[in-house]
Amino acid sequence: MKTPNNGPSEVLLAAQGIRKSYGHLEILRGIDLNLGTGEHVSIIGPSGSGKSTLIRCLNFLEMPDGGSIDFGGKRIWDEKSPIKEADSRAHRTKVGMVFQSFNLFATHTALQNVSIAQVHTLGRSRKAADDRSRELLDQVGLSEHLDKHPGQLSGGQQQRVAIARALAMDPEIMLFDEPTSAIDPEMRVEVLRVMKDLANGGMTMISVTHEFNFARDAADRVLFLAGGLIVEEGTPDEIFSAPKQERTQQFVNAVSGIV
Amino acid sequence: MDYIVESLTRLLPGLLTSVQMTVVSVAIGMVLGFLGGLLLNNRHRGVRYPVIALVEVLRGFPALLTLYFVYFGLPKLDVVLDGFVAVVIAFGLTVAAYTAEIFRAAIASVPRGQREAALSLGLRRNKTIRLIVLPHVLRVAVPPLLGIVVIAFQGTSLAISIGQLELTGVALNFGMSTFYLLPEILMAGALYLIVTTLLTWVEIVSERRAQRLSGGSYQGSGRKRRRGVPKISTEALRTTG
Amino acid sequence: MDLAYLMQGLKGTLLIWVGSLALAVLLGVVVAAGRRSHSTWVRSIVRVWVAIVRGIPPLVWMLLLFFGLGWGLLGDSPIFAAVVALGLINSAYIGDSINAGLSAVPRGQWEACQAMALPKRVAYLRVILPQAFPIMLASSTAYAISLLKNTAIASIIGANEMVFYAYNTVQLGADALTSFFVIGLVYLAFSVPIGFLARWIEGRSVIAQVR
Ligand SMILES: Nc1ncnc2c1ncn2[C@@H]1O[C@H](COP(=O)(O)OP(=O)(O)O)[C@@H](O)[C@H]1O
Ligand SMILES: [Mg+2]
Repeated sequence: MKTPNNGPSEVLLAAQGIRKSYGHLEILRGIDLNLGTGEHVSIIGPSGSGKSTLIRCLNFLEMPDGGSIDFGGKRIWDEKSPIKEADSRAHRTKVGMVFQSFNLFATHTALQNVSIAQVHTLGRSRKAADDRSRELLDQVGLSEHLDKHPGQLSGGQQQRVAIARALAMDPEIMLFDEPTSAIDPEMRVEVLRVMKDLANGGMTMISVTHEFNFARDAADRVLFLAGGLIVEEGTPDEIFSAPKQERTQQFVNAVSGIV
Repeated sequence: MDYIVESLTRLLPGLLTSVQMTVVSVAIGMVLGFLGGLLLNNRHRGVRYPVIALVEVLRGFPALLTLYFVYFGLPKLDVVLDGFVAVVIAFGLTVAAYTAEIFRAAIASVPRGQREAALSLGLRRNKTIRLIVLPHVLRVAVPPLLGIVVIAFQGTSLAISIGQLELTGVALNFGMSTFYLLPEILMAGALYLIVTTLLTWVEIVSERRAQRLSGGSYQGSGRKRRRGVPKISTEALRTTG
Repeated sequence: MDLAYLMQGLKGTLLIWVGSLALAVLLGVVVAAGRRSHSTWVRSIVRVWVAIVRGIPPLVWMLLLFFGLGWGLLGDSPIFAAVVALGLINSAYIGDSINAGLSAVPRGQWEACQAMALPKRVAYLRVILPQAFPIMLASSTAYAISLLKNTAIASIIGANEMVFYAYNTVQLGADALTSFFVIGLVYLAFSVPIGFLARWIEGRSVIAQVR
């Protein structure tokens, strides 16, 4: 487990009773998720259990059907007051998102990918943005690939550019949706190292992951999501070594390769 | 040798007319085609279906027929057209129908993740379109559009049917009144071949650039990135008739 | 408008279409074989041939054959000249779609045939061609449709096909808008169903389903 934060921290993100359906299919059936500043929560769960949907609801890439979301102590969304386009954009600038499939801008170089929103969302000068981008790309170990296009980079490299791109917005929280699932096993370690450094550096994070070792090392809390509900929640040790629910035990065993 | 030089001085002005017809009809066609491509991606059937019908009719008609329709038909509606204008309107419409389909496919080929990533970075809608979507669309669309340029260029030879003196017209005009019919047409054919080959070469280069978007040049091991850029084939769209 | 008179041209249109299509397929097989040849020479010759054939507009090809290159043979019949011109041009396209169809069959299929020591002929007939055929057919159909439209060009050298008749009726005072539009609908009556058929065949392709 990562070093615990000192003292009780204020709640940065509070999602209550999040529900979401596609047609008749109820994907999320009332999820509560509270996150203190500097806290790192990992979400695990079987494929199709709604992990991506949940995380995408938190920056309104999907609109939840019910519940409420508070951010920084303010109610930013609930089912009675739909969010305005400008407000969701303002929210998204504070939330960094890292996708399973990287989603780097294919027509832009690594440097341009990291700079573009600094210039066009935050209004930084091109030079200031590029300086910051170089710094961040150096931090994720890619200072030699600034001018390459995504197509010229490996999956692991692309994902590190994507992380730098999200960090360039100076977000208050980072969301990771299975960031290593589309990467060759031997290339994952670099991405995981970057994420671990972030968590240890005090970044507030939610990570959806199947990398149990990473969650053990770097998460403060682990949620097990199945059937649209949080089945169990606890410290990494509790979830991975001594789960209370049978369902959790089965899932943990299956992913760890224990028959 | 003298003949070749002489012939070229006759034919080059004709070639210039052909090129002018191509440029104007392609310009008209691309603007209309881009709008058409946007409409073809519209969510509402009420918008999409009429555009589909129009595109299908224009693509199904031989270009020569569209030309006759415009040149001989519109005067019946009291719109009298100069031959050159009729040519660029008719071919412009044909080009528009083909490019609409190209732009539709190119717009649809932008992966959803590109837009989502832009959203998650707080980019405004108009900036997302201008900075992210449009470059992607153009990169994908340019090679097939160049294919259309080739087709349009070759298609201008049909303008002789309404008496326009473009490359074919000049060659035939001179050839018919002398003993040099075959050599003159051969010369014209050679000029078409040269221009077509140059354009095709540019098309191939731009295609390579577009393929790069899908990560073709990364030589690393491991799984293929699935978010490829589909190649839009214009070969099958080919029509000069 | 005299519909019966207009439709007289349909025979000429179909004649040019079917004739040039047959020629194109015949020569197309040769082009495809050349494209897949092991000899660099053969491949280069085919490449140059294809570039020349495609690089010259159909009308110019027709004029060349009608007024000169086919002297004596093709000079009397514009329809015959059109058949040869369109056949030559489309042999390049059909050849490439045959080639593309064969290339679309995954290499593993060949390797599996070899692993089982199937004779080459059996491998082709029983394994490769059945998979390649729907793909060839789908793309060839697109060329067949564009070939149908290109038959209209033959009217310029005086072939008695639909556009030729429509042009004549209009010159004799028939309404241009309706005459040309009706002819256009006849082209659509052929191309739209064929297009649907091609998409249906392609949709049923085994390779397309596996992917
Ligand atoms: N846009 C959508 N439309 C319909 N169903 C969807 C959509 N997105 C996700 N789903 C369905 O919702 C369920 C949960 O998906 P997801 O949140 O991606 O799961 P996870 O990330 O846990 O694998 C899946 O069954 C999926 O098919
Ligand atoms: Mg997911």
